[in-house]
Parts: sequence; structure tokens; C-alpha cells
Amino acid sequence: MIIDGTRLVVTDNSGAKEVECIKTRGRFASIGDVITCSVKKAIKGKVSQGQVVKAVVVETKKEVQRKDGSVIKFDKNACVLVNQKGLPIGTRVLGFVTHELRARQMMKVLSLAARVF
Amino acid sequence: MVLKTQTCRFSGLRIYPGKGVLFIRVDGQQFLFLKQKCRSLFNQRKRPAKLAWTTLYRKQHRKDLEAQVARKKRRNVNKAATRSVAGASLEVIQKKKSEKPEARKASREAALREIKERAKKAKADKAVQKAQAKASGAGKAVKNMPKGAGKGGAKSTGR
Repeated sequence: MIIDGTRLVVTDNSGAKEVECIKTRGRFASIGDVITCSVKKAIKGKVSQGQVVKAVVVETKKEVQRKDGSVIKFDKNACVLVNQKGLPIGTRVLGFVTHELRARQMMKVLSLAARVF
Repeated sequence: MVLKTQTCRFSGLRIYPGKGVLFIRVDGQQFLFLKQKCRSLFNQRKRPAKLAWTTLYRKQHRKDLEAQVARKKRRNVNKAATRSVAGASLEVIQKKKSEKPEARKASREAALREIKERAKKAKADKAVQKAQAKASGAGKAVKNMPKGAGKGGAKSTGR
């Protein structure tokens, strides 16, 4: 349940470490939604602090319900930076992702991930 | 259709489809909770082994052991004699097994009677020898012989 002002952890190697959501499509954003964010903390990489980027939410503390009745939730809010086409900016995804990305056509992010839940 | 149920990580109870929440920790460990009760207690870092309603507690305090013990008792079945053992061949074992208790008792009594008769006979022999020895007047040497003869006689009737 990501809204404007939510700080998310970036789980790829694009250079950004922490990011703040500035725009969601609709009221809340959940796993699989693409949000516009501003980079708050960054190390040397492809993005720098203060940049406005797009990101796809991959982990939320708020539970996500699935069609089979199962419910999944994570320990933190995390995202992966993507470009306009939906392709990841970084080359590795270090955190966890879920199958919800499959429905949103984020196959590249899915394939880079170490563990899919 | 067989329903696949999972078990709650905290309480050990069964989780049917549509119930339960999967919590994935930062280190990647998965925790499946049946209800908010289990999840809350887990977050409070309570130990399930200390809560009387969890399966972990019940296992530790050996509740519901009667069912397990009953199952174990049923497994004790008499094995059939199939192999010969040192000291008795297969035929001897089978013959003894198939012997009726009355027959066994009768053979035992017959053996006992035989032993008693032999003992009596040995005693009688011993008495005769003693008398002979006294008559001849041999003394010490003869004293040892009757004892040995008697002992030997008694021993020879053993099984």
C-alpha cells in the first residue's frame, strides 16, 4: 500500500539505495505497480540523488491477496528502478519478487531475480 | 479430490486453502501463520513451546501418547520359525513347536521318572559297593571309589 511520500528500499544495482514515491497511479500502489519516485539516497551508479525515476514495487509490508486465496507479505517496502518501457535500469535484482510481475509483463525483472515467491 | 493442507509454523495446526498468511522475512525465511493470533504472538517473540495449545507444547509434554503407544503394541507379531539355530535343526524346532502341551508334559514326566529311577539304581549300587569294600577291608582307597561311581552314575542320566 504505497502512497505519495512512502520511502522504499531499492533492491537492484542501479546505484540508488532509497527512494521516495511521489506519484502513484490511483490512490495506492501495490506489488507490480509502477510508481514515479525521487531518489533520496544513492551511491555511485547509473542514477544519482535527486533524480526522478520510475520504479516497480516488488515487496510490500501490506498483504497481497491472490486468486487462490493465499496471502503474502514481506518485511519491507521495496522497488526496482525501471525505464519508460518497463525494462530494469540495473543489471541485477537482489531482493525477492513475486509472480504478480508476470501479469504486468515485467519478465525481465522476474528473470533477474534470485528468488520468486 | 485431495486437499493439500499446510501446517502453521507457529502452532503446528493445519492450514486449509484460503486461510493463512505467508510472511517472508528479510533473510528469505518463510513463515506460514494460521491466524492473526499466531502471527501476533510470533511478532511478540513468544515461544510456541511455552503455550499449552500449540502442537510443540503437546509433543514436549507427551500429551496424546496413548494413540502412539497403542500403534506400537499392535506391531508385536510372533515370528514363524523359519531358520535353524545353533544347537537345534529346523526339524527339531518345528517338531517342538507343533508339540501339544499334554504330550510335552507327558514326555517331561517320563524323563523325570527315568532320572529318579537311575538315581535310585546308582544309590543301590553305591550301597552294594560300600558293603563289598567293608567286607574286603580296603580302607581309604575304596572310600574314594564309591563316591566317584555314584557321581558318575548320577551325571550320566543328564539331558
